Amino acid sequence: MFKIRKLGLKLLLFICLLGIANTIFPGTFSIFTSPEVVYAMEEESTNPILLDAIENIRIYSTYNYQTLNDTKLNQLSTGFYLPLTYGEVELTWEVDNQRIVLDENVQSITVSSVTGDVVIDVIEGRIVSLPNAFAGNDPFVLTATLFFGEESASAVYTGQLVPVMPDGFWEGAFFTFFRYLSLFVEGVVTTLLLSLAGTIIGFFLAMILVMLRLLKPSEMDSRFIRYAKVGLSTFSKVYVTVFRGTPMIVQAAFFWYGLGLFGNALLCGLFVVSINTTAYIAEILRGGIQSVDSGQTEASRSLGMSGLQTMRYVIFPQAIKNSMPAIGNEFVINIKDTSVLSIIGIFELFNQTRKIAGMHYRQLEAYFVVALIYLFLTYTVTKLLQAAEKKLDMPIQELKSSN
Amino acid sequence: MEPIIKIVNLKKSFSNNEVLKGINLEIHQGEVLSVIGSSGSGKSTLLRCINLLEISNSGEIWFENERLTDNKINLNRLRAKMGMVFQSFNLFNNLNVLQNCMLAPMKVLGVSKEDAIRNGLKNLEAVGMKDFAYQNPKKLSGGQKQRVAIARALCMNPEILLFDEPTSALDPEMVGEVLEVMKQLAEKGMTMIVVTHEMSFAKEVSTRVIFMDQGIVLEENDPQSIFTNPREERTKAFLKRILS
Repeated sequence: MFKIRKLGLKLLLFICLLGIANTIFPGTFSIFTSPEVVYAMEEESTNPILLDAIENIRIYSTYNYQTLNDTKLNQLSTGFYLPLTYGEVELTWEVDNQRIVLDENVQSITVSSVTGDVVIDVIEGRIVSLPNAFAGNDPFVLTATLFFGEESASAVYTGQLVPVMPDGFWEGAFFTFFRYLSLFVEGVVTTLLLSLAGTIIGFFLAMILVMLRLLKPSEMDSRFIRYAKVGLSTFSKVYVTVFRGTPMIVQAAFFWYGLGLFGNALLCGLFVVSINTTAYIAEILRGGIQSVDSGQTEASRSLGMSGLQTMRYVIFPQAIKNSMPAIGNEFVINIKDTSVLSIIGIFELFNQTRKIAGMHYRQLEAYFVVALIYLFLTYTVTKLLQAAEKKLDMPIQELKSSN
Repeated sequence: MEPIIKIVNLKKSFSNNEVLKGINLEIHQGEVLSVIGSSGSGKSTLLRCINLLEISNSGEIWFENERLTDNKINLNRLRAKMGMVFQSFNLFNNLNVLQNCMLAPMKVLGVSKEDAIRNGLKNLEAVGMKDFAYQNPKKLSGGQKQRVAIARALCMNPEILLFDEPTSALDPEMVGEVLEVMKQLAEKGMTMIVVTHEMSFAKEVSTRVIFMDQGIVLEENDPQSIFTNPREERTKAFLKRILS
């Protein structure tokens, strides 16, 4: 059982590392990027009429005769019309994909152009079957051969057949999950990256913040030190009040749209999560420190250890251990709460889902899937943290030599 | 001979409650001073003032010719010379038994790790806890914890040991083992101030006994005299109550 947990932790780390690497070197790790598709290639020809034809041939969708430009040809899920003439140039067509059948019958369609409606002869390309969600996109190549008098040339168009979302809810949910798995994974990575890094950074900042909070002016200090202590302690209090008292969504909008911090939404988002978490963890640590029996401090001081040494070697280790469950909980909360960073255009899990829902206009399935993913993440992380807590309880850490 | 600790007219109050109303006391090298008295008489507060865990309101405390009540004093250096044993043991929960004994010598006295281990084991052996050196303190019984706490204080090679009701939180059957250790320390000549409710210990081991009542030292004498022939009425009443 424990081995599985260990594996899970490693997997989580691996995904995070991959995510970091992908952020730093975009496109290096192929699971996060779609393959590049070339729209058209021309065979060498010197005839200006043929060149002009290759340049201006249009493929039309059977839906409203819309022109299929390169992006639409790469997301093809409807039938299409292929022109047989362009001016004096005549064309023949071939396709290499079994799922597409080119009709023998010549039809006439009326399309609008700059010079008014034009009637052109076309053949229909009919899609007889679409690939399913698991198979993903199915690439195809349309080859046109152009004849002009004695001369001929060919043009090659590549496109992709995309699966169409099935009607039923469960089918749709499965489809959404498998079809957009890589997009979801991208979102999960960003979410985990933001919440984990935010929690870790927040934890270290919170340690400093809580130290400031606990500064108490004593009669033995000089006047300057006394003022400094009061000032820093007050700063800590105000910080906690402000960042716990305002919504993270407002903080995100303030720092990104208001100040444009770092010029990078992801970094700005990380900053927002971190400073927000700092405020919460500082309060958790304060509680943890206060929960350590005052006798521990007295014993340490009675042995001649300074306040700082007492804090570092006696109080903090115990306070952190006491606070660990709550800090872990903060991480779980962050996994959910980073969804508000979608407002500043970070494509974490929630924003990614909005994108996916928009592709098929099927909200229910997409948000159902993402709810399950969030649930999976929080549940897994909670279990991992519980295992870690159990482990943390047993050994007493090695005491390092003084330096 | 110069006293190790000299207390002159020490006063301490918590808000409006005056706990110490002017204490005068001297402790000499090798003395075992038992402090007895009913609860609320200021015994523990006196001890905590000596160690400066409580800051006194007025009066003076001299330790080896240095005035502890002086603002400019290096408190940590002087505290390192005064071991304190608490009623509630206060072992560091995040460290094991040996590490409890090693931490302060390494961080305060700058002892090397090897020496700290050697010294720690030696002192743990002296209190009969060497076999538990690598245990978690939470797993020990009260008597064992208190013996470790004594060893921890001894590791600093203190000039004087202060005991704040060291057996009050123990089950009766564990009191003996702790008192035995304290007895051995007394025989070796350790200077000790012991706040205690263990009259037998005060009688047998201490060289001097003070009876505190309502914030003052009411009676001070050698143990034999104070237990058999107390001068003050309230001492008599207290002893009668506690010994019956």
